[in-house]
Amino acid sequence: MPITVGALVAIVAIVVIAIPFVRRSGSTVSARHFGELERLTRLRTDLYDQISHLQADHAANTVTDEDYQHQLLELRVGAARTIRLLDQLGYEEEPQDAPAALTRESLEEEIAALRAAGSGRNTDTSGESEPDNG
Amino acid sequence: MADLGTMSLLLALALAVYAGIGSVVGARLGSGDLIMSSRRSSYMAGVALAVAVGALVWAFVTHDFSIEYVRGHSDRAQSQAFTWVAMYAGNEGSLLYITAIFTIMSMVAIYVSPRRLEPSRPYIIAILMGITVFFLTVLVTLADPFAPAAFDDGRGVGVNPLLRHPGMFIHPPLQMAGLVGVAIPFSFAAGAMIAGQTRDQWLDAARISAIAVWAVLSAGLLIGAWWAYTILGWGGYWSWDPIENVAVMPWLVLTAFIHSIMVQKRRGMFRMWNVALLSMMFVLAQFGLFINRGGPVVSVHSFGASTIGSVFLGFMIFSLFFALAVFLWRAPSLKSDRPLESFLSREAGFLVNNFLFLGVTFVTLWGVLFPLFSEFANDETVTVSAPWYNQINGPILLAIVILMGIGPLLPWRRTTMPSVQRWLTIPIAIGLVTMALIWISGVHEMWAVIGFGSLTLVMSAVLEEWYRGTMAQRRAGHNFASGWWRMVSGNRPRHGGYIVHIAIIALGIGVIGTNFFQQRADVALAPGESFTLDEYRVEYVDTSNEERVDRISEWANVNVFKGDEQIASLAPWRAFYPVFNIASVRAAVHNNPLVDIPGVPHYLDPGLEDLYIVPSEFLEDGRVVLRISINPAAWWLWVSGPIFIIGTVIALWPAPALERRTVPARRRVPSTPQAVRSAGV
Repeated sequence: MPITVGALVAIVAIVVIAIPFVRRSGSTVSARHFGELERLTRLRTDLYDQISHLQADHAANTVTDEDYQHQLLELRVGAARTIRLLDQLGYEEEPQDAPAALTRESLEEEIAALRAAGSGRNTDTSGESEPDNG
Repeated sequence: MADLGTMSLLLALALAVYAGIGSVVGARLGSGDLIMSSRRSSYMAGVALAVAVGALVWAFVTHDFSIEYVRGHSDRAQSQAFTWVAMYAGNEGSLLYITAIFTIMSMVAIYVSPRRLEPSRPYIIAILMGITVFFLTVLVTLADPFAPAAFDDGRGVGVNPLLRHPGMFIHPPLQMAGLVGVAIPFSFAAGAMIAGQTRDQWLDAARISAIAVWAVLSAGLLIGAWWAYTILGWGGYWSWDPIENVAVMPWLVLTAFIHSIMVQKRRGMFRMWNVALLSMMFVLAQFGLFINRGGPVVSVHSFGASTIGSVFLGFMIFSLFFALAVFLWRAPSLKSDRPLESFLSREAGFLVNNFLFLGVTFVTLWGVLFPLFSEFANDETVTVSAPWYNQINGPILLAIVILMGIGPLLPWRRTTMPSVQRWLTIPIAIGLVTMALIWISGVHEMWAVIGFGSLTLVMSAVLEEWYRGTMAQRRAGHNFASGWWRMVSGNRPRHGGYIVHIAIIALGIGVIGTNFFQQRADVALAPGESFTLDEYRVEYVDTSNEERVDRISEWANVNVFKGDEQIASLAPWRAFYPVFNIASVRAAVHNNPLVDIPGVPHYLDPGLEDLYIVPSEFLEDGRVVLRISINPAAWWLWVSGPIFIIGTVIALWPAPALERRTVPARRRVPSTPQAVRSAGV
């Protein structure tokens, strides 16, 4: 009886590890693509998390206004970059967990408006526009 | 059952070898099918090992004394409950247990590993399976738990009497799982390094697995301390025994890592440092296995010197070189995103915290190694005992506690002295006032007073932070309780961490109370005689005896009085096991509560002090030698356990959707166009 059980486990193991070769469904390229998508969506969630935590810290008066402004900007820029990369990879799902103040549209609209305002002022003073390095 | 066990071990070995080699070859050839097949093979290795464990447990339960290991670690007289767990009472069985639990933990880690680690996964599997192959090779060649017995006397030897304790069901499994489990966060990081994923792809997997392993190891250490307190009969719970030390060293480094990984997550800093910490932790865990499994250090916990020790030493050296090679190879690409801007910042606080934890680790490591060096160099046996560790590690641990209060109040990035003063004034003032009050009340143990003051500082810092956060929620219209809960659930890792800090405060109260204020007496009493220690009068009534096949047990029945009132009847016992020539004691502990809460079981009342009684010896003239001690605040040591668990669960619990977590800002702070441009969007 024990030997039968052992043999059964061995047979199941062989079948289980052979299945991927029988199916031949693996594509590392697509796996890498989805891996990158997952990394970026995770990064985006992390950035949203950090913005939320920063807001909580600021509301609790444990972060100065100056630091809050600096860090918030840094995080929003990071979020905008991540969203852009997600767009480039063809990711279309709207995030369900974005804070109300940070939907993709609102963020990109705000950055576009700020860039436009900044470019206008820059053109006025130097006659040159900022390079698009984002 | 021996055949099934041996077959399962060999099958697991073959599957683990295939999984390790196949995953790397699959990665090199770009064959997703081979990688998937290898991954499944690693799962099946776990299944095969579970079958092997089942076979050994079944052999114990059915008293199959034809297996040498079963014959040596069980008998028909011992309680059936202990038969179920006797499988890890010896070297071979416990090695099978750690191999199985490690492989099952690896299964889970590989299964839940995030997709972004896809390029690293083959190397993660290879590292995990490499470790499994090592354990299995030792099991199959040097420590076979299914080896046949030379003879079968039909009785068995029995399990070591010191292991016949409820702690046996929890402490060894958790402790061993925690020690081998530290390889999992290491594998995530090392696998990602090998695959070239040197940014933060491995961060979450390593962080979550590290916290989970940390919780397991913490619980194992705490339950081990409780076990020692109740059974070893010396009235203590931590003796800086070499095996305790090798278990606590990876825990210390893991604790440092859990803090510093937050800096990487939040600020993109300390990548190199974090990989170094994980490597250190992994090598220290291998060092622990070496010492525990036949290493040169003698301990109540170790399995005694054996040839396996040198094999584990070899594996530890290999692990050291492997971790070092991976680290040095990828170190140039592990640079931080930004430099440390100020020493007045949370990042700097975490860095100092890390140095202090490593300080305790290396002091402890030196204490373990020094006797070996001494014996090797001078042929002289030296023992490094608890006072040495307490003297050196005590102040460092105190500094860690103080930093635990100050660090969380420092903001990220940088701050100014006026801000620091604003945030720290209240906690520091409360800490100083506490110290003054304790001193005035007549307690003049300097280190104890500083210790209590530091713990108060930490508690008030946590409460201050919670108060500010809760008030911010109240401004959004929530009541106090729901505001507090929304604050906690808005940042569970941080607030779970604060709850763990509260557990440390409870632990600290217990450590200070028992170390600085313990009273102890050894007395020989005849029936009817009594002895008074502080406010307690202990009256020895009589002795009860019981003789079983495997032991002779004696109970000392005592009554405890406080003033004229009898507050307890206790019956500590001592048993002698002739086969082992070992005596085992079980202390009787009476918790004298600080507050007597009506309707609450006595042992759950917040404890002021334990009255702890152990019968050291029953004399032929009818007297009994009792060791009586008063252990102030000992109750707080054990209550820290549930608090640890609550904090860890909260820290690991998945976050809710963000929109429900946001809080209204004090006022809107606009972003500037210049700042956006300079950031490069």
